[in-house]
Amino acid sequence: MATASITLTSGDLTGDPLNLNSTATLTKAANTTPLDQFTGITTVYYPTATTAACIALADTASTVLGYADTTVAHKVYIKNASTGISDYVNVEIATTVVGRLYPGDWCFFPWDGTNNVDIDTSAAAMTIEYAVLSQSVAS
Amino acid sequence: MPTTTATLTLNTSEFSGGGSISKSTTLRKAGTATGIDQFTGVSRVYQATAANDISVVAAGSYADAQAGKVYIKNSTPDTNTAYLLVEMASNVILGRLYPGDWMFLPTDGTTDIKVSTSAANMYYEFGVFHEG
Repeated sequence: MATASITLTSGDLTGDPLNLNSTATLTKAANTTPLDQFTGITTVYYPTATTAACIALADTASTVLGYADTTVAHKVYIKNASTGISDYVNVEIATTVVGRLYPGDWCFFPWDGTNNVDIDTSAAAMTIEYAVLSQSVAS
Repeated sequence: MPTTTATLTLNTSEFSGGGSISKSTTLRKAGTATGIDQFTGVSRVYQATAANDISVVAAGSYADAQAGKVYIKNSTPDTNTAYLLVEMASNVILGRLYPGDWMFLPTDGTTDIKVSTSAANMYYEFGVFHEG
């Protein structure tokens, strides 16, 4: 069964060392059955600054990438795989900006399939990685 | 400046072409090589009754255009149905965290992040790395 683990460490951010570990077993919503769909890790190069590039399409009517919605436990991974320190990716849910990923930053979050997940790239010549782990049918 | 590292290990070996990947990043201030220097700590909250729109990140408390990060986990034991509904701004739904699920998301200080608990007797954890 697919798993996702996070480790957050720091020896000097707080008075005591930070060492947080958590592992999630990636199951369908409200049960113990594994997620059954995976896009693979996709790498995309954007030669120019781009607005609202779709990472995950919230459209159950789509015959290409229509995801089940609402009672689902989809997960989305996005990484800014660009180099340097200043070129960022805006992560958006619907048209709401969630936050910025600077080079090397990654995020991993749940997605219920009701709003598109989009990105904006702030500069030319940026590279993004992403993946979606999902369930084919809502629970 | 502090050095804080976030590492994701994603194991997808049961899928064709899947495997184990590991991605690490050092948490830095926006557009700089300077480490993030503020952290709320990890809070653990017990919610006795189902509740809507519990604030996790109040955008007004932070400067804008940041490279902050928020960690949230549904740590409710002994069930697989009690979920945290994660929402942005004015109830724009992101997704559901079922028990044991965690998330790590950028926050730029312009958008509120809230959770709603779907049932009574739920536990959740959260922490915010930020620039002030």
